[in-house]
Amino acid sequence: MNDHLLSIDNLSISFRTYRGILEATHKVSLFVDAGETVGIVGESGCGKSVTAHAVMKLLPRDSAIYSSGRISWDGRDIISLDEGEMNRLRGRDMAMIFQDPMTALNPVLTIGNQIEEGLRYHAMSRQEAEQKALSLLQEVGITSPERRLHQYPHELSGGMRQRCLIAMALSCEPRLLFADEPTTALDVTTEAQVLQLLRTLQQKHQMAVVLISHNLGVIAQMCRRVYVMYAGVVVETGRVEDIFDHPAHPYTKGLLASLPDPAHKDKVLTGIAGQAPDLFHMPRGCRFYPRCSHAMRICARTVPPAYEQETGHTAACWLLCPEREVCHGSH
Amino acid sequence: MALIDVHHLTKQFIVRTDWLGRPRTVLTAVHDVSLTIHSGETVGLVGESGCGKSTFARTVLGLYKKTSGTVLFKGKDVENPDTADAFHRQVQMIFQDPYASLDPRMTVEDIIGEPLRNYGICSSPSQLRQRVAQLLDEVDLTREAAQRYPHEFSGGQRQRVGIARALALEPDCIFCDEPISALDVSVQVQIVNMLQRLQKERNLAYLFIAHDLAMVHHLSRRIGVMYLGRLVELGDGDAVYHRPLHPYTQALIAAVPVPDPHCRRQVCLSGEVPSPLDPPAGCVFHPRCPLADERCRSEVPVLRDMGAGRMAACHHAGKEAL
Repeated sequence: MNDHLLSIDNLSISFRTYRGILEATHKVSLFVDAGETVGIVGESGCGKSVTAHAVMKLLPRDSAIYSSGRISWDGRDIISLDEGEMNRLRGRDMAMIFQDPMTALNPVLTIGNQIEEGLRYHAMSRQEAEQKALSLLQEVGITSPERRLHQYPHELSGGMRQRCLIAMALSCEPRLLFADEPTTALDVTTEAQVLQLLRTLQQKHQMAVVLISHNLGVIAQMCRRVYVMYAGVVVETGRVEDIFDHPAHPYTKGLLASLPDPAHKDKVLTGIAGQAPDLFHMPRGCRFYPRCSHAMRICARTVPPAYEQETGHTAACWLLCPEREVCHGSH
Repeated sequence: MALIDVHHLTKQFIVRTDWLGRPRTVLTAVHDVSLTIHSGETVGLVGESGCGKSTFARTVLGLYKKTSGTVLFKGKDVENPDTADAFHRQVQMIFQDPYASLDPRMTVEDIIGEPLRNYGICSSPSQLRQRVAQLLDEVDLTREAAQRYPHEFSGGQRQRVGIARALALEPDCIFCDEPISALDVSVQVQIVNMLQRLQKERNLAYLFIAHDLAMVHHLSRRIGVMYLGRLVELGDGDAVYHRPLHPYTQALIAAVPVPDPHCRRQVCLSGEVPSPLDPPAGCVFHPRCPLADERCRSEVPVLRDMGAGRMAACHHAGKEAL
């Protein structure tokens, strides 16, 4: 168990809100090995970003509660670390790039300043930091980097800003990079460029990447393994080929059926009926049951366990229960 | 006869004026675009942000004042007051952001009923209520929704309210400006399927603007591709998607991440879209084009007929770029 770079066991994160305690993720378990790209896919509000922010301990401290579970980084428990220890971990061990490159960059500091900040924090001299920042900008494919160092974020395009964020995240050579919807705000041709860049950098630095996205195409193109999340829980996980070639969970199937097939234009898309449940009124049994076309009586009552399909490919759905009569009898 | 016929539409915005109020910096958002929409068909318009696709739709509708060009509705110029009235009634629009396009202080009934009141269609309040209920049925919302406010709905439901409002006047054509971009994948399908059902039932025409190429291809009979304010390719949907002629269309389609892990592509269009304030000379795509030569740098390619109802604005149209 401890040979994973990052492993999360049964992590539940809740938030204090005006309407009461809200559970954003429920017993999420996942692991990341050194050097691999892992995808987390799901629709808005399913808890994918919360999980990543929880690992980095970037959730608001006054409202977020780690209600159960553990996060272990290289065998060390992260939840119990204090802010100082966490600061040493962030940047050098794990780093993050965010969805919106405009709000993630500080508008009143130059690009150079922002890249050098992390380097200086991890004990580097000013000259060294500037040299390093320059080479980082070159590495992420920014033209005339000397000029860019002294520019402000608003002077750059969206794609360039995302490249700067990547340069910042890479500055201390992290072993794990969280990419939280890194291309959602970008146009397709820029998206392709940024994804290509991420792929090259990942191979070059042998770092692990956790790619969070709602875009199944991006996940298919980039990842080795995938976690599919729905309403705060992991419903299915496996190698990317398992998930895309023979999805087991009705939600994953529904997501894939929502994508138009260019070869069969006239086929009506099936998709998924209904909408994601309100986090305050979560169904008692399976969280997907109100939208599921295969729902059985047991689904409404009991949370389905994760059933293994092939090695490493599991899905939490009663349809996959080996003692089929037990569940299906109660139709 | 075409339902809507747009000829050589140009829209310029004045960015800066000198001290006498004369234009000094002019941004050409839409440059000489011609497009025809027939009744009952869907025309898709794709392109990256800032390429002028939304501006085109808004200018055709008269939400922006056009700089030059003509718009014909059922063969008549919409400048003509009589035609203008019918045009504004028969051509409606749904917007990208279902959060910003509905007034938060109005109930759903007020929102959907507004066009009905404006055109004096329902004389009595009970008649109006009935018509709104009917429209809510059409877009699969419950009748109770009428008394609620936009913030009580999810993004998908709000988009349904927007569609019901557009349907209120029984239009011939709806301009859909990125109607699904702000929605989750599973909800996108619900909206797309509903748009297709309404099209069949009412013989609606759509101008469907989106940056999701796969979805545009799924919906559209014909597709137009825009780049930096110019229409660079136009043709049958399948042909444009599977056998693109313009190098930009080819790059755009190649850049879409395919949801198939067995088919990983590593193609990239380098560079970024240039500023529309200072477009490159010659073909506007030449700085990024792998096929660019001397001619492309100096001579502007016109949108020319490539046979089989296809058009492309490229000196090298039809050559494999990637």
